[in-house]
Amino acid sequence: MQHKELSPSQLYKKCDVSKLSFETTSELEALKDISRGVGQPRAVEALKFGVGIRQEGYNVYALGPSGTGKHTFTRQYLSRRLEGTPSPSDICYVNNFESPGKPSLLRLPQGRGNDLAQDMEKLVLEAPNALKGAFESEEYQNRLQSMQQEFREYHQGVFEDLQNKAKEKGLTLIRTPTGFAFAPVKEEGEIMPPEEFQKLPEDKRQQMEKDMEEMQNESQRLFQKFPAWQRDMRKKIKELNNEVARYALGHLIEEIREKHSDVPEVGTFLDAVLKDIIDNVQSILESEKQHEEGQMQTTPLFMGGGGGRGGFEPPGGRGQIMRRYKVNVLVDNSKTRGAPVIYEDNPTYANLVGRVEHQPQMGALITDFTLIKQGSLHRANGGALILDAHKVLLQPGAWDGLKRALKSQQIKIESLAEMFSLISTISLEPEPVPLDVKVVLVGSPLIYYLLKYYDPDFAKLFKVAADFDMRMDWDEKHQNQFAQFMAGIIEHDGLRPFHRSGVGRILEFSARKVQDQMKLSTHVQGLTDLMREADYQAGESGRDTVTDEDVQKAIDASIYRSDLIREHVQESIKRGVMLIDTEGVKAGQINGLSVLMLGDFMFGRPNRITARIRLGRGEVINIEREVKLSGPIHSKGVLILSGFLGNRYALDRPLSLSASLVFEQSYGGIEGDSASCAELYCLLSAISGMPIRQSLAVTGSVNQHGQVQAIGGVNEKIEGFFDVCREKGLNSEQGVLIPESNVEHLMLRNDVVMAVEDGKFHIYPVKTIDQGMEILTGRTAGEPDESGAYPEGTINYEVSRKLQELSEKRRLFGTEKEQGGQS
Amino acid sequence: MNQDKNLLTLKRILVPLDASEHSMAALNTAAGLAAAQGAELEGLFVEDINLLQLCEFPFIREISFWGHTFRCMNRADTERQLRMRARQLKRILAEVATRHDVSWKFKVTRGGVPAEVLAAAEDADLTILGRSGWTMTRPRITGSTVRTVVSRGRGMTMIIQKGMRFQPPVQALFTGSELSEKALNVALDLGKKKDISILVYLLTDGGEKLKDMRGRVEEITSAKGVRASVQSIRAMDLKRISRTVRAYGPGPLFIPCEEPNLQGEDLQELINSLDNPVFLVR
Repeated sequence: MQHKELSPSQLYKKCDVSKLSFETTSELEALKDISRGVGQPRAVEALKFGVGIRQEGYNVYALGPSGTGKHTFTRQYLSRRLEGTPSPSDICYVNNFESPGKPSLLRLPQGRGNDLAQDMEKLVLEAPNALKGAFESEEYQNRLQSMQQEFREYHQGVFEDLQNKAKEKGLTLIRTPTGFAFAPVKEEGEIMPPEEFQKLPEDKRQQMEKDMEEMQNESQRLFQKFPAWQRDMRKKIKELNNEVARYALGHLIEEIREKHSDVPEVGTFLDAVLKDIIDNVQSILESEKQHEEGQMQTTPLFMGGGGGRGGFEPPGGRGQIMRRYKVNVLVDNSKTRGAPVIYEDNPTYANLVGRVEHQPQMGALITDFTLIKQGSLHRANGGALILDAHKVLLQPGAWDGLKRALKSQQIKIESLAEMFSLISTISLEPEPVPLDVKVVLVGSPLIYYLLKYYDPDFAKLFKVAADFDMRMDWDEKHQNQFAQFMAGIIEHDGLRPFHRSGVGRILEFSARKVQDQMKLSTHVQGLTDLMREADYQAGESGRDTVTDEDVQKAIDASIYRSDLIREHVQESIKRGVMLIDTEGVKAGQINGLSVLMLGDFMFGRPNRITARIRLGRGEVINIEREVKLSGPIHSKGVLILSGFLGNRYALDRPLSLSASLVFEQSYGGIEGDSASCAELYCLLSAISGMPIRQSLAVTGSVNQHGQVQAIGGVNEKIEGFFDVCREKGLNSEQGVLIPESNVEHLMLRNDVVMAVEDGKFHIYPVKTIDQGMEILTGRTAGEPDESGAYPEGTINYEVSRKLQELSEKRRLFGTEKEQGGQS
Repeated sequence: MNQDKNLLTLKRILVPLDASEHSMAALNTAAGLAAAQGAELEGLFVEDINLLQLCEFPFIREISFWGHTFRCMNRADTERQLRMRARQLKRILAEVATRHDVSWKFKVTRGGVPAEVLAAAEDADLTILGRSGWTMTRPRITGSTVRTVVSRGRGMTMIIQKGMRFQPPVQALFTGSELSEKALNVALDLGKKKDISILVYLLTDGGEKLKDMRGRVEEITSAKGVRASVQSIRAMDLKRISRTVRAYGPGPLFIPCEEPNLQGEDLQELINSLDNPVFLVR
């Protein structure tokens, strides 16, 4: 019944620093781009595929635990991958003169957007002066006055004719407050009073009335020609204005047209600009005049002038009227090298798809195409956009907006507030921008799987999953890459070089982080933090290089900052507030081990588990579950115990006990099955009456066959019990039983390893329940003979005997009850 | 007008108003002169009796400029429209007078417009009239009220059209008569107060009389401390006078209204031929 315990070398994998080919990290070539390796081959392959494939919907979701450097990795990889690819064109918006509410999109070759904007700015500055010069010229004024005079003369001629005809008939034309009328006159030319008119002979009066009616009809006939004349006059004046404006602006427009002749859309835009200026030349001249007179009025002017197209023009002078000829450069790619890789830190709906801003003016909110603002989709168009999935989902409308853009392959700027009818004001419908972008969502696996299950669009739009592993193999290749990566962080953060002992200690810490002697953590954030803190410790110690001692100090300091609660727990055990025995023997009582997680800090502690039995119907009562303090996995573990007991000891008779199990002094919930081993040991001890050594603690889960299975947090659990024992006094008897499959996960603290080395503490790997019981009780478990009976004096014999006894009692109890019932 | 013929003092300036562009030009000029002279500005609006009488004719129709439709004329409506027009003019007068910081009053009468203006002009030191009212014919021809005041008026009268103002150079016709000396003095006083240069046209056939007239002009201008330019125009050639005045610029022309050539139809013709403001001194 000899049970081996683990040797100190099995408790911790020491990094062999002699195999590191450098003295300090300053000798290493720094690896700044983590996407060039460091243990994420699967993610690299997925990103390569996602970026490479051009078909729709092959966007990428980079999933992995937080802190694994997904953002940096993705950004660095994409930047490198897209370097050297063609840069996208500039995106501009210009006024749509036909429909000002729907600004037109203008795409220009890279860097040319600003050129055109500056050219149009120059036009906006020079055009009013050029127009003013042309329209104030003597030649124009003469031609205009000649036209106006022609109309005036026609108008006056009509009235003079009427007046003359009226005079021949003894009438005159007289002006009234709202028109004119014909009136009879006396021979002297004065208007005839009514009483005099009445004195005229009847035939004379009738003749005058008839004449007046004729004159009225005549005037009406002549007046009907006025609108046509006015129309002709306006047309002639417009033609004149057109001619003069073309003359004044022709060279300015042609200069721009020639410069951008390779972009036909610019020519179309310039044609529209020229037409609009001609249509609105009077408004422009008027505003220029006001500008010169310093009488900037605040009366609203309206776009469209004579055309009456009705678009709103913000009030003001020259600048504001000419504003509509400007170019709004939404995305300027002049400084972009290769396809852009954009990370949007605040992915609100507006920050993604852009927005239309408004300006308050005279109590109203107004806008125009110059107030259209870009979103990150605009900036990333032609390249890649990296977004944090969690942030996108948190922002109202952002996720839907992103999906809409990806599905429609275009960016359509719509106001969220208007979509929900929260505001009602003048807004714009800018022409949508065709979208060609790879979106990389970075987030946790949980979000990935939730989206996968609950959002049918997700699978169509994000077909590529880039899975980031939280660990990588601890081999020579990765060890060297790890050191180079550390050199990269040192260079980036300006830290002291790390001595190879420091690198070794960090590698060990990394292995401890993933609880595996064969693996290293890829948690970049944790690594970076530890390196910075170790650098600080080195500085405090006055060292130029960071050694293992500094790293250890940084680890200890970090633990110290976080382990206040652990200390309180330890203290309460030491002072006997929480009852934990670390010596002696007791039946039906055992030290189980549990782990508490406080953020990213985890620590272990022992829990007293007790079991009591009585005659019953084979049920094992989990008291935690009865009071709803047991999680489902824990409850499952307890139910497995009944399966084990029945299978091993009660194949041919009913299991006639009722057992209750409880975590003493536990007031919070319990989850996980890592205590199921301890619970079974405790139960077997209670049934058999064999006492258990209280100097030992137990962790591990068990299946129905009595095999002990691996659990998590093995290091913290061992250390937790070790700390309690050390506080109460190590007596060389104490130790922990762990599943044998957890041995490779051991990366224990140095003080624990030293205690084991000194024989003051023991760690026993256990494969079966029988092994564990033998260690705990010092008695042989016992193998069943051919008939299934266990040798006398063994643990299993005692358990089997007790259960048989209970079964017999139950049978007798049942018979007596039946007899009693009959009598 | 002060009794001293050499010293112009205006106490009351009358402006007949009908809201036409010409009458608004008259109002602005009157306000400017009233401010320079410390005179009171009196606006006059005449409710045209002819219009009201027209309403008595059942067959007379008013023709609108815009709709080209006929409308029966109604006295109550017409009176209301005239009252509205009067209120509008009073408000404009108040604004202009306030802007020039002059005292003002506004009067509304009813009757024939020329007769009412003539009557009101009797009590004014100066009457300033728009060249024509709401004319529908060629604007160069003066309106009936102006024609009446020119032919029958007895006080000083200024006639002005839209776009014109009291601006340099002040021009004056000088015949050597006492009235022409008065006109020259008025021109000098008004021009001096506004610091405007003056040009005097000597109307003579030449010879000795020209010399005398030149000497007299120099005397008068020297006495006022003003340096004037002098130019002679042979005989009383009104067309030539008109051409010369127009050629020299848009400034006001001071005319002594005296027999035989500067009265009646001749004077009317001279006024019609000019765009300049005309100041009739009687």
